[in-house]
Amino acid sequence: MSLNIKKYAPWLYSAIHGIKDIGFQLEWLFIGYLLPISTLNSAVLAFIIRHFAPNILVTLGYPSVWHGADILEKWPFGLSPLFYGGMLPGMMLFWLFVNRKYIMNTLRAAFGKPPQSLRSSRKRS
Amino acid sequence: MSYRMAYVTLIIGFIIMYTFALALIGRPDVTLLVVGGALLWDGFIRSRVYAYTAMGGPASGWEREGSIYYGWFYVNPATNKPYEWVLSVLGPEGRDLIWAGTLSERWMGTFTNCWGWTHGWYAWTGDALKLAYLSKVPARAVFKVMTVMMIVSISISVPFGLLIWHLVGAKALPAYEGCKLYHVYGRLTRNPNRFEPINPTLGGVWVSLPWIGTGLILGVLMTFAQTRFVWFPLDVTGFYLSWAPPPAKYGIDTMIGLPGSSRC
Repeated sequence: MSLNIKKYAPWLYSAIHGIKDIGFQLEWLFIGYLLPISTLNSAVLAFIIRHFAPNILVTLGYPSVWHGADILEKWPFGLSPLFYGGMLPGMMLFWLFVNRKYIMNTLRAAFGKPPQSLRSSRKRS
Repeated sequence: MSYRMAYVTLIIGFIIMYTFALALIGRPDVTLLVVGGALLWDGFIRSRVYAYTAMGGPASGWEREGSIYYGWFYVNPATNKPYEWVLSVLGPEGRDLIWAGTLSERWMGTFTNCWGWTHGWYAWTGDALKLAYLSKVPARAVFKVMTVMMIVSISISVPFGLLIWHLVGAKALPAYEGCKLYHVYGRLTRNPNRFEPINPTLGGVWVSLPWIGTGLILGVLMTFAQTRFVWFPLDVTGFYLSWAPPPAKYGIDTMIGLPGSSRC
């Protein structure tokens, strides 16, 4: 459960630019420690960026417009298109690139023309 | 199922989905993003996140993935409303739909982490036939059982899902919000000014192109670095947990502070 701090703690809302709701869920914190370390690193880094960057920009004189989900869409962050439109397809494209030979060989085998290496391994088994 | 049949099914399914979505959306470029997202992007990332964390939910709503705890805890089944002590932070979609949504999602869901219309049935079929192969059970026998079960399932799951919804008083079914990419771009289509354009001449959904390009480069570089260097400490999936709208509820934001209950 989370609290809308703009309603329940307006001083906190105006002090930390970027925060909107606050909550604490211990079970999810424990589950977080089960993540692979690189994933947990990235999640913490992204979390820090998400929280610190708006405050730095406000300190530099920009208006505070990144509370809550707004940071997903507002300039300069645009985290929603940045991730959904960019990072996520980038991850998939790189996977396709790395596995291009495997995919092509699978397609060839599926439609009746397996590569020589696959034919010989089939014969051995 | 042979690889050939799997690919043929995938290709035909893509064509059918694209045609159907094009008829609804009307724009070929946006339709490609929607259907591509449903088949590849969303499924790919979700399956990976779920494998890592078991908390990559398919939706941001309280009534969906992993939310059976919330459904039981916050909503009075007698009135289908949140209890009095529940604060107003629950979104409007949660006020009268959590209970019914939880039940019908569990009833109709084809897979813990994906939607039936993307790769739910597909994954189940592949899993069943692969297990049959490994355990030396004849594929023909498994196929017969699966066919019967699919027919039975079709005939009972949708009516019972609808029945559950109406039993608890839901007046509208939650047909919105399937694929997240659709949702992101759908919002853009409805309100292009929601994203402040860096390059206004692009127009329409493409105002976000600079972000998309930046993210694409970041995603490729990060995945490359992780593949190339064992010590590389970052992973795109982690950013998914912190930044992407749906898992913000279940990701690290949920653990230690929710900067935005990003209802997308």
